[in-house]
Amino acid sequence: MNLWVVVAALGVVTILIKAAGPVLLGGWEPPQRARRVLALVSPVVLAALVAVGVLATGQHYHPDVRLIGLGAAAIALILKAPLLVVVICAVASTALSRALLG
Amino acid sequence: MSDTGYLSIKMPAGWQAVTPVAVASFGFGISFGVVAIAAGFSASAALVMSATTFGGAAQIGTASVLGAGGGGAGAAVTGALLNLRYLPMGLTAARAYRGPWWRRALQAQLLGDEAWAVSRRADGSHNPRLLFTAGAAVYVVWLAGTALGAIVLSSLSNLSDWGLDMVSPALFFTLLWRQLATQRAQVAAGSAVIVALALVPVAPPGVPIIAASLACLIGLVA
Repeated sequence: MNLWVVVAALGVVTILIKAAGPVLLGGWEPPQRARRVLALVSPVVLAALVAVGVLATGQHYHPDVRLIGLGAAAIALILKAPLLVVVICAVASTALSRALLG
Repeated sequence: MSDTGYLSIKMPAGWQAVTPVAVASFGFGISFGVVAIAAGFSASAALVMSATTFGGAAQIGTASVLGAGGGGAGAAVTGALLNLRYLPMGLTAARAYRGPWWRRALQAQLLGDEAWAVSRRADGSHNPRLLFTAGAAVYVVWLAGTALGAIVLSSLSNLSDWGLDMVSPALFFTLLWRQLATQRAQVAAGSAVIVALALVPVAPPGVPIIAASLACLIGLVA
């Protein structure tokens, strides 16, 4: 699929999602179960993206120095570093490991 | 607005909250610009996406599925799932939007995690002025950051030598880190990792992520 089609499709879906509450459903409170499910969508998708992003390349398992980068990010997060610092730690440690370990 | 007096008293505290949020969003925007170019976006596609989708995790999720060789449908669904949280957030903030429907629909496009959090009052309602200003500030710096990231990156070659393939996992990891407060979230995230990794060898890129999203249904039972 063309990249622009993806950009347009996601843009339209997001605009509708954001407008839905304020335009159509003002003041309506979804049932507790629905709220619990919706609250879990973000963490489960993010967890899957992290796991696949670090451990796979295409359709193959390929654990490599990206794990060192993830470890560096974890240490930065434990030390309560802000987002940009976490990213820089992960990127720098991955680049360094790659240069040193081949 | 009828309650301008009240809001103008709140403004200094509001601006103090908006500034660090805008700085952080600028850095996040730069990261998205980098990830988008690395995934094969043109700078204009990255900017249009930042202007219309305006959701960091969703944009980077979509770009990383495309960058990993996934199909367009899988990439768009991944992004849509990550923006689905704006439905409940838009519901709780709904009363802060005023005026005719088209104006509410337009203003709601500035909704983001930061603006939602900064404008939230102790009683669960939202400060309309702060919701709008924080959203507008983040929107502007998000576009500026995207442009800067995309332009700077266009001048680099061989991105993995620079470790830039770790930008999106590190961003996702940071966002995830903040969402694992409950045991329910931890169990769901762990299940999602297992499902996604199990499907990697058998399903095309992108599909493992969408399949793993079903782990959110744990919320129905626990």
